[in-house]
This record gives sequence, C-alpha cells and structure tokens, in this order.
Amino acid sequence: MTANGGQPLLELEDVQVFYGAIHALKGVSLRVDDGQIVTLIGANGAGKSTTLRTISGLLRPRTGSMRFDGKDIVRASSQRIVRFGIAQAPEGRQLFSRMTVLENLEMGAFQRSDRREIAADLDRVYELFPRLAERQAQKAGTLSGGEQQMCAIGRALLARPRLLMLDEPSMGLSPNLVDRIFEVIADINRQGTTVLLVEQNAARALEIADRGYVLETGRVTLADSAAALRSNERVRASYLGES
Amino acid sequence: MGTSVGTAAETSRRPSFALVPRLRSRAVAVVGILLLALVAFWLVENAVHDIRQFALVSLNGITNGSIYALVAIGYTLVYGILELINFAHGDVFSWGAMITYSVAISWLGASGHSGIALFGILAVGLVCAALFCATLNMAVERVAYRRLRNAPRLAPLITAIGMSFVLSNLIAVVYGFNYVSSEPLLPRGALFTIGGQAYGWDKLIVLLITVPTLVSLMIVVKRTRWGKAMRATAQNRDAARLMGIDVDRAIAFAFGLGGALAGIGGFVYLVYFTQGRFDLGFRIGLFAFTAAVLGGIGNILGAALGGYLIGFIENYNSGLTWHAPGPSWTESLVFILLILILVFRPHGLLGESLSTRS
Amino acid sequence: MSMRKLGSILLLAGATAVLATAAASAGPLSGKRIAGLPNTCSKPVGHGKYVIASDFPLQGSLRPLSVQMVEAVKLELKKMHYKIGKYSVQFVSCDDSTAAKGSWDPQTCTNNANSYKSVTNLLGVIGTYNSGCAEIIAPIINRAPGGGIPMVSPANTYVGLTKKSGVAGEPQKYFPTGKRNYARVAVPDNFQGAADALYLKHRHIKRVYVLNDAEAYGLGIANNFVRAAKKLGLTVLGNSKWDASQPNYQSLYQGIASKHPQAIFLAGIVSNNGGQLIKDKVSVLGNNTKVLLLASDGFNDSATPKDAGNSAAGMFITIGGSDPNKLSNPTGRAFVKAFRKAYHVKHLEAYTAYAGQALLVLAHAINKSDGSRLSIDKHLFKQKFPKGIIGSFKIDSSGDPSLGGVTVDVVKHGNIKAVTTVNPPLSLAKAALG
Repeated sequence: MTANGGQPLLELEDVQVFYGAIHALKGVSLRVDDGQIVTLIGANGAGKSTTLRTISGLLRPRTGSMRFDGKDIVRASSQRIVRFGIAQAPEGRQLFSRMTVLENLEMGAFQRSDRREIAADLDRVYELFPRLAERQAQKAGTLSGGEQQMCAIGRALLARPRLLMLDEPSMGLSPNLVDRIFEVIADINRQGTTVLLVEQNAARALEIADRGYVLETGRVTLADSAAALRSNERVRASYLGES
Repeated sequence: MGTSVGTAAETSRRPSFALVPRLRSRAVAVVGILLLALVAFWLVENAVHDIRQFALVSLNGITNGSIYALVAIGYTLVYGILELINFAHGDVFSWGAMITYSVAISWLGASGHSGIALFGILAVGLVCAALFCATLNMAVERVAYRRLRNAPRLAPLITAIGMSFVLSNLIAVVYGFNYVSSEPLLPRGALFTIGGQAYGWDKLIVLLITVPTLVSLMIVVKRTRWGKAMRATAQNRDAARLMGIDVDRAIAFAFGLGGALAGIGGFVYLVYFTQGRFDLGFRIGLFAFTAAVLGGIGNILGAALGGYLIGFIENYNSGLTWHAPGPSWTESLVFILLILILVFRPHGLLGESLSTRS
Repeated sequence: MSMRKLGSILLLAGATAVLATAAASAGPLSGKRIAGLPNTCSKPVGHGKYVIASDFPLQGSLRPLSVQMVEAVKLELKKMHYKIGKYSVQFVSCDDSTAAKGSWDPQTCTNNANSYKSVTNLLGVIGTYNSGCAEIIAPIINRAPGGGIPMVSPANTYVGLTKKSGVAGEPQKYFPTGKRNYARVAVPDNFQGAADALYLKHRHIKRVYVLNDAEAYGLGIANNFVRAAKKLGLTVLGNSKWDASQPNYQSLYQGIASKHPQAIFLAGIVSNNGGQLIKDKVSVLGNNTKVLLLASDGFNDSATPKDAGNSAAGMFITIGGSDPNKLSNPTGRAFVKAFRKAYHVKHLEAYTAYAGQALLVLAHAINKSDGSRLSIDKHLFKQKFPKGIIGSFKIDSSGDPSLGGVTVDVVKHGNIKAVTTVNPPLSLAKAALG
C-alpha cells in the first residue's frame, strides 16, 4: 500500500484522451489516497493539465476508468464532479475578471446552498489570504498575479472539496509568494483536504507531497513515494535540475 | 480558429473596432469634442427656439427609447455569452407584439374593457408575451445554435440570419402580411399639457412598465444565482464549468431573459402604437442592435443607454423644428453616430476595455 | 483566385441557374403556361395565338383592388369572346408584388418587363397600378424586338410618365426608342393635386401642412398640390417627408402642431405605415373635424380604415376620376351591373371600371392597327370614346385622358364613401404641373 496507507479517493486506470486526432493521454493510471498530497510532474505538454481537465469533466476520456470515492465518474458532467467533491484551481487562474473578488469566491460555492457554512469557509479563505479580504470589492482582473492565484485557490476551496486540484499554482510568482503558496497548500492538506498538485517546480512539489507521478508524453513513466522520487537519478536529472 | 472546446469564450471578448492609430488620437479627440459641441449647440438652440416642443419631443424620445432599450439588452446578453449576433432577436420581439395582439385583443377583447378589467387583460397579455418569447428564444438557441457552439463563427451567424427569416415568415403565415391594428388601449387622457400639447397617460404607463423591467433585469443579472452564473459563463466558460455551473443552462438562461425582455418590448409596442406586422422586428431589431453596440456590446447598462440615445435621435430629428434634418435622415444619423462612436470609443459608450485574460 | 476555386464557383452558378430555370418553369399547370413568362403570371384563360397580360400588385393590401382590376379586364375580354377583331387572344394576369413587401417590388417589375420582351405575340399589357413600377416596365418593354409593347394603365397617375413634370428627362426617358407605347385612362396627379387644393379652399381652409412618403408618386402629388394651393392663395406651412419605417410620428406632428395647421394633406400610399400616420395625427392634432385630414388616392384603399381604425373616421380621400359605383352614363352603368353580377360583389373598388376601360383602349387600338405592335402603339393615341365606361373622353397625343374629374371620398363607419366630385379648371391643373 501507499506511504500513508489511506483509502483510495481517486483512481484513474488506463485513461486515454484525444484532442481531435492528437493522442494526448496514452493510458494514464494513477491513484490519490485520502488525506495525501499527490503531485504530477513532467515537462510542458506531457499531459499534466489534460489529466486534470479530464478528471474535472472538461474532457472525456475515450477509454479507461475513473473512480472517485468508489463512484464511476467517467460519464459524469463537470457539475456532478464538483458536487462529488472535486474542485480545481486551473492553470492560468481563469478568474472571472470582470467580477469582483468576492463574486469570484462565491462562484466557487455555486453548487452549495448551505449559506452559513459558505460564510464560514469564506472567512477561512480570508484568513488564509488576508489580501483577498482587503480586495474583495475589487474586479478580479485588476489583481496582481499573486493575488489572482490566491483568489483562484480560494475560489476552489469554497467548493469545500474533498479533492483539491491545483494546476501550476506557483507559475509566474515571486519566490516569496511561491513559499507562501506552498505553505498554504500544506496547511490546507493538514486541515483534511486531499491535494492533487501539478507543478513545474518539481523540487518544491516533491517536498510537500506524499507521492508523485512522472508524466512523459501522455504516459506515466514513474510512480513512487515523493521521498523515493526525490532520490531517483532520472528524476534528479530531468526535473530537479541536478546532474 | 476557435474550433476546440470553449475557445470561443476564451478568445478576446470584445471586438476591437479601433480604426485610429494612437498617434493621431489627440486630433481625433479635438474633432470629437467639436462634433459634440455642435450637437449640443443644436440641441440648446432648439430648446431656446421652442422649449415646449423640445420638452415634448424629449418625452417622446424617452418613451420610444425604452422600447429600444428592452430589445437591445437581448442582443447584448446573447453576444456577451456566445459572441453571437442573434439576428432572430428582432423577430422574437415581433412575436411578442403579435402574441399580445392575439391574447389581449383577439381572445380577451381588451378594446371593449376599461379600468381594472383592462388592467387585468393587459397583465395577462404581458405575461403571455414575455413567457412565449422567452420560450421561443430558448427554443431557437436549443434548435439552431447549441449544436453549432463549437463550429466556426460564421456558421451560427448565418444560422441566426436564417432563423430571423423563419420567425418573421411564421408570423406572416399565422397573421398574414398586413398590419394587425387596434383602437387605443391605454388611457390617452392628458397627464399634463405643455403648450397646449398633452402628455398622455399612455406614455407614462410605457415608462412604468419598461423602467422597472430594466431595473429588475439588472438586479437579476447582478444578484441572482443564475444571473451570476450567466456572467461567469460569459467571462470564462471553462472556469464556469469548473465551478459546477451547467453552462448550457446558463446560456439558455441568457436567451430566456433576453426573450422575455423582447416579449415585454413587443407587448409595449403593440399596446402603445396599437399596430404590428411580420416585419416589425427588422427596423426595431436593427436599431436595438445598434443601440447595443453604441453602449458597448456585452454591457447591459450600455445597451439600455444606447436604446434611449436612439430614441432621442429619432424623435429630435423628426420633431425639432430648428434645422432638423428630418425623418428621412433618421437611419443615416443613427449609423453615422454608430461609426463616430466606434472611431472615438471603440468599445462603445460603457464598454470596458479591461481584458478578461489574467 | 485559384482555378479550382473558380471552377467550383462556376459550377455553383451553373447549378443555381438550372435550379432557377426549373423553378420558373414549374408552378401549377406548367404545361399550359405561356413560354417566357415567369411564375408571377397566371395560367392563361381564353384561346388564341396572341396574348394580353395584366400587371398588378396581387399581394399585400392592394390585393382587393388588383383582383377586381384583373376581373374587369377578363369581363371585357369574355364579352368579346377573347377575340379582338380578327385576333383571338389569351389572357394572363401577372403579379408585380411580393408577399414579403406586401406591395409592388422593383425587382419583380424588372423581371416581369424582361419576360414580356421575350413573348413575341404579346399584343399589350394592362397595368400597372403603381407609377413607380410603370417607370421601370415602360422603358424596358419600349425596346422589345418587334416594336414597343403597348401598355395601357388604369391607375398610373404620376404626371411624369407622359408629360414634363420637372424631373429631368421625363417623359422621354421612359421611351428610349423615341416611339411612345404608353397610354392611360387614370386621371393624372396634377388634376388630383389641383382638385385637392380646390376642395380645401371650398372648405375654407387657409393653412395646410403637407406630408409625403418620398416616393415618386407621393412626392409628385405633394408638389402638384403645393403649387395649386399657392395659386389658390392657401398658406402651405410645410411639405415634409414621413419615414415609413419609423414606429410612430408623434414628434413629427408635435413639430407641425406648433404651426397651427387647419388641415393636413397626406401624399403617398397607405402601405407606407399610413395607418400609424393617421392614428398619430389624431392623437396629437385632434380628430379629423378639428383638423381636417385629406389624403391622396394612395390611401383610397380598404387598408386605410382597417389599419387606422376609428382615427380614420371623417378623413377625406380623393381619387382621380369618378366613383365606379356611381357611374351615371349608360355604358358605365351596364359595366357595373355586369361586373356585380359576374363576380357577386356589391362594392366596386376605385379602379375597377378604369381597368375595363383600359382594356377597351388597347382593344380599340389593336382593332385599328395592322396587327404589328408599332401600328398598335401608333393607334393608342388620339382615340375618342364618346361612350366609354368612364364617360365620354379622348386620349390625347401624350396618352392622357381628357377626363379630369376627381372624386372626394370620406371614411365613415369603416367604409370609404364618395362625397362629391371636383372638376379642377384646366388652368389650375396646368399650374399644378409647375
């Protein structure tokens, strides 16, 4: 069993995805256990974002199975997947730029109707990111890159997900902010949310992750505990910038 | 080429009609200010020339403008969410007028009633027109546009033109090619008079229907769950999906909302002008679409503002007596204004140039 | 452009042409259709080598008028057993309107005219109703091979079709070969404009405002009226256009109200949003007793009381010539009686009798001719009809009738009823020409 020995929360088996004629995922299998941080690392175009988009239901796999908490989600619509408890802060943040920060955060809770709990989660997000509280009435399009990333993560958290998927959360941020983001991710995980993290910054990702997968041209080429991957020669050479 | 999933919504939101390079912008601004000054001078001179006439004509402009505003919002809502010019929208408006005629005049005999009974009949007519047009517009989206959502832009555009013909010809099939006409329905007694000319109750009633409708629409879009879902879908369709928003439903909501407004516009047109015909939506639709572009397409307040602006132009041009070009120039003036606005403010009066890309 | 692209465009064009031809030759009873005529034309009635066609707007608000005109032509032909002298003829009725416009359509007029040119044994055309359509058809069929196709209109009233009107090139531009082929029995607008002004003077009106629909007919009669009114000493407060596609005219009338007119004269056709124009006149200026409303014959149409409803009550509408229902001469009375019997109608529309008369003018010219179109054309002019349906009259050398009587109708209880006939002096009619 895996490092923490938890129950499997998300399982992908031999998932194949096509963009038109392009074979983007050529059979991806992975597993995220309850309470873990799992990271997907790989080069540009390896299929990391495609994997997350497929899990979120934006893309349909041609073959393969996807199970979340024991339920088949291959045919589920994206709104059902959110309801099951999977939320994503997508690559490039994808905020609603002409809506305010508060409205963006509220959109994260679109599927929920428990007003009181939403308010509590909103407070929690403001606690994590005090900057968002200051800027809540501001249009999201006017935020700085770091603030936008905070808003995107906060928005995903407002879905109160069991599995939070983060796509390149540190991209384009200053080193200070990168530290802050990784702290927050670890923090969120400690509070009980499982995290599937896609990162270019493999070193940092493997530091906080329990387990990691290496994706190369649409295939999983390595899967192991984060500690094992950190010491793997190939990973060190290709993704950790050591030779 | 915008063929992959969702890219239509992700590509640049607003058409940029910038015709003028930045270097010349100062000269352009000067010309713009001169033109504005000229128009202002003309209006002031007319007001001084005959202030009563000016007031009366302005009031007419508000009345007609509020109808254009209702229709313009339908164009702007759909454009905002699909980047599609829904040419069939003007014809949905025509249907609103004709359904009002059928329900309120043919079936319930509004002409023979007054007081509370008339009010009741008209209320039924209004609700029927709004519901019918909301359903019709949603059906048009479901049947004609939805399967083309990921097709190249030209395909839904041509389909929209086709739907426009289908809807107007269906009116001709049901109601014939001639006008349907009724006696005045709204009380026309004078609310007050200006220089011997009456400002009738009917004009006030038009405003009492249209203005609250406009305000409640803004509230719906701003505050309600599906109003927000619609805005979110308009700004970033993929992100909206990730929030668990059913974007098909959000788009249908936009069509339904626009259709209901067109239906209310059609209702107001029929009870105020007391006539309608299959081709009603052509000119009204053209002006309303222009209003939406004037105001900044995608911007609801802008569309309403554009509608009122066109109402004013139309009425000032035909009613003012001091050097007015006259009614045969109305269309030209409206489109000259459109061109000028696109030159001086490419995003329209209230359009935001704020990029949606983060 | 690549050759392949060019090829596919040519292929598309070819396919379209084939389809268009197929569509044109289809239609009901295509076997009996006269070759060359489009499917806007009916199947022929009668038997014979020669063809006579009528050309009217058969769709839209003018349909009732047009249908009666066609029937009047048929009635006269039937009386002759479809034989004009030694020529036996078939009759086809062509439509110059489109359903979508609800009125005459320039493109349809052009198509009709070009197809007439291709029918070699076409002896003449009865039509059109709208002067605008005649302006298109006349010059095209004037150049038909084998001589200009004779055309007699029961209803064209626009002056410039036959006489100088002030517009450059009129009327010669309608007859490019230099040989005229057009006559009419309708009373030209200058008579009507003069009669309208005269009628207002009779009613002690001193201040009048004119609205026109900016089409050739409306603008023409507005100008005729203005000149005659000025000659009679009336004050013309203004002559402006109304925009047919505008949703309403309240501002327009409010502008006019400040000039305190005693009467409004509408020069144009009712299908140009005339119903709304009348409704708004009443709602802004008051009813038609308070401020008199007079309209030209473009409003002499059942659509006027239908579209304008009670607002039309008491408005006056003139029409060139006599009310067919009140024809007093024996030939006219006989025509009306026969028409009512044949078609089971009580009320004859404004131009029904004129359509019968137009056919007789053409038939008379055919009778006197040698059978060639050029010869028929020549005999159209300077004809005398001492016992015509519309009374005793002559056709002058420019193709106009010598009858100048104008009927004034009033709208009462939703119907248009004749009130009186005005006979403007020839001098006033000439003054109206300008």
